[in-house]
Amino acid sequence: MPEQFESDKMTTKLRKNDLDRLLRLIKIDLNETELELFSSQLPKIVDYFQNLKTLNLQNIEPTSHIVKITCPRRPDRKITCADNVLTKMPWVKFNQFFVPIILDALSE
Amino acid sequence: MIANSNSSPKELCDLSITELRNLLINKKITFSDITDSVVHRIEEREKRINGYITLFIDQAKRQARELDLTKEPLTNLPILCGIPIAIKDNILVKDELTTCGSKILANFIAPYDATVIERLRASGAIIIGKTNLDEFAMGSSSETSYFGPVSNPFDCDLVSGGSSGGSAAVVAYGGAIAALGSDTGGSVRQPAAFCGVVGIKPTYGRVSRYGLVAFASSLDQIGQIARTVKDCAILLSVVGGWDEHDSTSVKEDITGILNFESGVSEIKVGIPKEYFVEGLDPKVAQAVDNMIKTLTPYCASVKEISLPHTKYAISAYYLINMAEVSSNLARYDAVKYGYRYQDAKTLRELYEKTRGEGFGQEVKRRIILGAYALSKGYYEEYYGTAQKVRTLIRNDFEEAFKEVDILLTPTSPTVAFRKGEKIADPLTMYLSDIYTVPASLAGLPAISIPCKDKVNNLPVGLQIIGRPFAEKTILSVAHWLEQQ
Repeated sequence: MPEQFESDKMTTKLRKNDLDRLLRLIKIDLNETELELFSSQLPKIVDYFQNLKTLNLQNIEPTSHIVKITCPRRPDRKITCADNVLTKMPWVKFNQFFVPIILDALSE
Repeated sequence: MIANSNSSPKELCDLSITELRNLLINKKITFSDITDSVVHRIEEREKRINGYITLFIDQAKRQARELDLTKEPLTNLPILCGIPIAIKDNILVKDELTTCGSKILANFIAPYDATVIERLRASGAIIIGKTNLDEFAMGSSSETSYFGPVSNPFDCDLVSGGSSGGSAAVVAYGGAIAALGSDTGGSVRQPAAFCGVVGIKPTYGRVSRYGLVAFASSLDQIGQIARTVKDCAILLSVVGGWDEHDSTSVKEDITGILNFESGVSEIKVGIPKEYFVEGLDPKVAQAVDNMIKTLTPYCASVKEISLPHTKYAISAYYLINMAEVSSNLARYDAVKYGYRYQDAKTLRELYEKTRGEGFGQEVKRRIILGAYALSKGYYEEYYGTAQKVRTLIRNDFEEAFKEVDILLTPTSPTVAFRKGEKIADPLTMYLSDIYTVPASLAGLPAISIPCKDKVNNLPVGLQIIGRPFAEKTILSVAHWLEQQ
């Protein structure tokens, strides 16, 4: 379920609580110096973006992409994983991907 | 060593693709001579410039020696045969490092060739190395690279521009004959302007993005950097064109872009008044104005036009950019590839520590703000609004191109600035992109060429923007101006 942030829409301030929640969402650990830096920098940048609110955007269609995109389709087929793919992985054992535990109740 | 028209000696590494090809065909030089000259220049200059992350000198020399043994008539060989080309390090070259200037990909070996690399190889190019860049191409100064900043070849205390600062710098100092970069909001044009070379961002969809590490997918486009307009056009003619591996690739004819014979006599020129306002260095404005005056007597017309939503472009661009960044960079999770924090006890700790240690500050800043812009309650307010403003900016250009064929603007409000001058204030850095991001939002082709006048002995860029897929037009005008 997406989280709602506390900032007031009309007087935007990206608050400390917002930053904490965002960091949980994007799964990035910041050190204290970065936390302090971003706490002062990010609200200023968000404030700058407020200039878009002065525009009348009624009946304006959004542009998500400049070119028309059609989803390319191809038939399903079985392909063998190339040997060299495994060489890109940080950790390989028994000729397989080796990953940390991903179902860890304590972590969530 | 070759004597140029000013009688000052030019090394082979300073010559254009066409000049080198002519010398090869006339058997004045060998392929190894070209590679050796480029390698020698790299050995002289690279330590101070830091334009390369990885060099393939041994492979390049071997490839050149093999070409020297070819029995094939040289006129039959493909157009880039034996030409050393540098590649921005966010484009995949099979079995070589592709770091994106980031710690998180510092050891990543590319499993396949990007389409542009396949096409360069098929045209005989020698891949000489992978160039330094702002981390994941996020920046306008090439100072955010995990591998250290790129220096400007005109003055090592200045930035090279970014994010393709390494590609622009190595071409400027002769460490490659030409290079590929990527341009999301000006990342080819602005460093080209700062380093005194030519850089083109083709129309979105013109060049395949297959094998370009995704940053802001609706804006990213692979661009070409060289010392002459014609070399840029040659490079574009090789790497451009439809590719089945990229669903945003467009089936538009690319033949004929090397034909510059049309001249400028029928070209109607527009000067957008919103680009010549407060914030533009008056000396830069003068240098650009002198270029406009050079063209005026020879073109069909020059008129002032308006792009009224220009002042909203930075906000719209960065909101879209950051939203796409937060989505695209979610894939760096320490599981499939890239840097992995080794001491994690839980999955969340693995993600958080890996991404916290693996990404630099500018990348983290954009992921945070992008997630904010996409979050519940703010999606429409920020991302949705930015997409609507993108429509207005696109409409501005469509209206302008009903009256004129090209637009002339400065590429950047200033010449190259000092290292450290803007890096601590991200908003100031973002604002320096004001002249390049509108064309990116509209997906238009745009080229930066050096003005005839310098400012404080530093190059100034003139930007020429054209209609969608009108690369031939902007290249023709750029070529004409270059010859004056």
